[in-house]
Amino acid sequence: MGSTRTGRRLVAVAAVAALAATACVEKVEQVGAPTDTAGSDDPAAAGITPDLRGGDLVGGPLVTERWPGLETSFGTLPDGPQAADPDAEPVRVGMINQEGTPLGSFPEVRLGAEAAITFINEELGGIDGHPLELVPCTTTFSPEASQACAQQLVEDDVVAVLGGIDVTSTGSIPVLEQNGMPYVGGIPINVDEMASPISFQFSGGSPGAMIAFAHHAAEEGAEKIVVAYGDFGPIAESARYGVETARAEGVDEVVEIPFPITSTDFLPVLSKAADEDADAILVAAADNACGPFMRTAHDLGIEARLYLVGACAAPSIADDVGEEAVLGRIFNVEGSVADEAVEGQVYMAAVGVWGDPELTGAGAGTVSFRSTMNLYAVLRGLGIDGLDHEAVLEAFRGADDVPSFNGHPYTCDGQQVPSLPALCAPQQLLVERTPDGLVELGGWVDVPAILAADGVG
Amino acid sequence: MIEHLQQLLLGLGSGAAIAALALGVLIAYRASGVVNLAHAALGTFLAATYFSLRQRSELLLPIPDLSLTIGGEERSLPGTIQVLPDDYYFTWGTSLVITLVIAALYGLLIWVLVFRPLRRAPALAKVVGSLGLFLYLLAVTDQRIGTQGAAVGGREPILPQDVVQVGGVDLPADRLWLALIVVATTAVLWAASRWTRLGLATRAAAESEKGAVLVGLAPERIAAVSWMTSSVLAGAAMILIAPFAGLNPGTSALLIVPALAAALLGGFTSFWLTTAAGLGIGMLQSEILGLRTDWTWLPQLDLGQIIPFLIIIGVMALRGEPLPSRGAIVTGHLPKAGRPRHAVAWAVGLGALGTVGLLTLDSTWRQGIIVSATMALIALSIVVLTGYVGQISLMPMALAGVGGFAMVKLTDAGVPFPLAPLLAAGVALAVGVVAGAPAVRVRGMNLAITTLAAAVAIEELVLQWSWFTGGRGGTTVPPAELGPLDLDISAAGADFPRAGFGVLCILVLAVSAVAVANLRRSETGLRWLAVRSNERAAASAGIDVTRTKLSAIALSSFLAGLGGTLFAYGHPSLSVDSFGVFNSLALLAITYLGGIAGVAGALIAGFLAEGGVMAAATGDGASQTRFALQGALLIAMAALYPRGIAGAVTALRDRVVARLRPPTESVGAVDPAPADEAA
Repeated sequence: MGSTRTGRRLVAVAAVAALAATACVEKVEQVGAPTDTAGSDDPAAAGITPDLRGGDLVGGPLVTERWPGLETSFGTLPDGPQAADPDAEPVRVGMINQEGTPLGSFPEVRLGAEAAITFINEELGGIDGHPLELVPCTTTFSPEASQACAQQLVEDDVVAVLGGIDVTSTGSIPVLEQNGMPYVGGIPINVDEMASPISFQFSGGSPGAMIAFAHHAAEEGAEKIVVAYGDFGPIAESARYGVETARAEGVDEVVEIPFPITSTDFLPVLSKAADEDADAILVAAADNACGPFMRTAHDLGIEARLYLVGACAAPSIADDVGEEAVLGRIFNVEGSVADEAVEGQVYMAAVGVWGDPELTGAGAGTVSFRSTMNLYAVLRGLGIDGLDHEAVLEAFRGADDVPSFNGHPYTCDGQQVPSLPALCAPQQLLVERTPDGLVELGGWVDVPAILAADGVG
Repeated sequence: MIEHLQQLLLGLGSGAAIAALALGVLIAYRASGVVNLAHAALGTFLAATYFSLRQRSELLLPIPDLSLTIGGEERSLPGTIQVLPDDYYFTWGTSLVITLVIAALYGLLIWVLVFRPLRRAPALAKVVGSLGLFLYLLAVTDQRIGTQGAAVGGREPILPQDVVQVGGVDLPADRLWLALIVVATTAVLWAASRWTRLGLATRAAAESEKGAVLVGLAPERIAAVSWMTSSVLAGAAMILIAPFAGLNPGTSALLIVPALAAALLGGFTSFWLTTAAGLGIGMLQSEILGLRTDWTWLPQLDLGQIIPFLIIIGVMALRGEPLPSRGAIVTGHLPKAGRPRHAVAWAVGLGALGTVGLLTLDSTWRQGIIVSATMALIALSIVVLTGYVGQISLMPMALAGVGGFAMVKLTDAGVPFPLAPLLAAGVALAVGVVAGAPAVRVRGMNLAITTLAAAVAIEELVLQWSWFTGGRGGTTVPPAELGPLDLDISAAGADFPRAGFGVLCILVLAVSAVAVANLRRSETGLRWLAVRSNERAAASAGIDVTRTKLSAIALSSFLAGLGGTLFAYGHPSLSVDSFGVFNSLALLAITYLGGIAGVAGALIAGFLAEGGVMAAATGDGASQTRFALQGALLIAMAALYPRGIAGAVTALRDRVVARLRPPTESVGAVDPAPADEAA
């Protein structure tokens, strides 16, 4: 029970991990028949349905059989599966993820990476025929455990460490930094992950979400904006980006409403927001606040536009609070929800064949799958003989507009968000909940350009 | 003024939620003297049960996921039972009735299996049992609804949702209804306690269990009924709260904290005061939210969370009585605190063993040894204060945090090693004495609550102070340097952690352990034990109880602070996350498991600590099932074997020694006292 970590940290994990999962909801309702390269008349592709789960397509056509020759972010799909040589020396990739604690457990993140690696080994031929091997390390919600994980992976001499969800990465990042070990992707929560020179993130984290919200609200002509945020470190910090962006973009008045992350009732928060008669309300809160926030806003008849993090767009939450409470709400996502997003379907097909039943079209598994595929693309580019920490670091540091799996291309020049240089792809898509599902509001919100123009960050 | 009243009114929902839970806490306490830390966790599981019945016709079972191999085939225990065929659902009324009946059953089970065996145990055992139940329910609830995340509890709420205007404020009707239900429940409980036979009997048993028995009442039966009532209230409260508060295994269980504050303000006796306090806390938090929005100069502290704890500390300091007075039938004793023997020899032997391990074993083991030594030192602070003096403290990790961060600030200011950690431990000592001062006036379960409050206050007021701790980003810890000696833990690759730092940890632990053992054998130690055994008797024997308690608090705080400095040196990037109040609870629990009344117990606690030697030996197998089983183990140990592992080993040794002795010496001559002599 030494690893029983509750109290404020318990609240923290619920709050932060969920908040940080801004990129978790991507393929909520979009999965239809493929529309481009594979051809919509492909009967095999018709098996990919919105409610598909991992393992549902076992025994069916493989990804490379569905879309032979498809151009993807990680290269051209071969004409049929090419398995890696199981006897060849594996390329070891580490992963630090929080699991198995009552305070928050995110096995789906690891499962997403495992599905990607199985897909790579079974269909893409691994790295020059060498299979990838995932070396997962479970952290148990303590800096000590995260530090021990980092140390273990250093000893195992993995070529890179995939990020998972690690609320206590303050323990692991310094160790990885000291050993020059690349830390790739995941759902960044702490500043360390977003700022370390060995970290490369394909997400904007919660700061990216708040910047995009503020920008969109300002573009829509909002004169007064309320930023309501859970009064806890990372959440408050991300809210600050929203406030500064709104002010820089000429919003007349920006009102901040911090609230305890342990709040039982969000009525005082929303009543205060309603009193302000704002045009938009930007909410930085955890997913456990999603439902209560939307429902209470609906009950109070608040007409201001309500912006919430992507985790709040989960269909299960909409089911729970009722359709009327979620209509018109705006969320951020980091992968296209449009039907023609073929890599979204590649993901679904890959987890359908190779993934665990826990994996779905939404959720944190999409993020780790993306991270793994992006790392794979870099490793494959380096070739089996060129794999070492320094080479991987250099490859990422030199990344300029490199395609990201089902996401915005990434550039790791440290300038996308100058104060958080590890954010390589902070661009966001905003979606609105309509009776027809989630609908994209325009294209990618160019967060780096906004920051540069507004002098924020 | 009107605006402030309106803002207060908006906190009605929160206040009602807090009050609803506090009433259940109060009932359980009146029945059995137990502050049930698991009350909100139980309510969360029951609410999950309700929503599962309502939405999926599934009954959640309160057992962890376990796999058994039967006949070569692996089978898992079911976590749920499908009660109705597909497409058939219970109405909300049926779901509610079933859930509340189940709640009553769980209440009875909890009483029979957990707290009845602990009814005559000391307050510490009750705290540990309650903590065990909390861990168990937290883990099992997470296994049942964890994957459903935030999407539990909103669908088809029981209470009406339309908005009504009250005092110029738009209030969703469910908040108003909840407040009315809580007030009505309070009235019913109050009336029942005054005018029904059961109510009067409960009051009698609460005031004096001994007296109740003497007039022919059956306190145990009363307690059973009270636990069932408390459990039903927990379930009902969480079911009604969930639509606006959400339902989350972790955060919902934490609602116990403000509920405790409300129950405490009600003196753990008055239904009306408890309800008023609950409503007041919720409304005050709403007002603070309004003020913080309007007055941006207010400190960036979570005032809404701090206030209940400041209230608790203030109330306890003012209300506490100098000496205990409750008329329990039998008050159980803390485990025997044996007279340590051969402390130096043990310290040298174990220290040498640890040093050899540091010099020969790999990185994982070295890290395990360092963590164990550090945590054992902090656990030693618990042994001194709780094991030797009987004062429950739930703030050792908070004090360790004070020590750790103070060391960083001192080092940054140019104070060299080892002066910096020693001075930092002194800072922890000062904070500990100030925060622990109420211990002079309160004891037992009340002291546990007070120190819980003090720990949270330290966390909020001191550890969240960004100048001191570096804020959420934490702070960088400078390495320990002593002339040519390299005491830095950091090293590249497999050289991490450096053995030299490990040797420092072992040395500090060994010196501290020997010092504590010697103190235990000295007159000071005897005074500690006298106070622990019976404060009145100690006072009548001329012992200055106040000074004795304060001396133990001071030493305990110093040790915790010193442990905190080692912890800091062991974590080049130090954050406040490591020093939360529930970390203190976890450490208290493993120290209890190890054996709280002896130095050996602290060493075993270090061995068992997360990331310690035990973890290095077994590998990482964290899972909710493990947490649930650990919770159950804690309950079992609290009830069945309060002397802990150290006590069990000593007892075994004595049994073996007794058998080896010639028969003539053993007849009626085996004195159990020496059994406790070993450290």
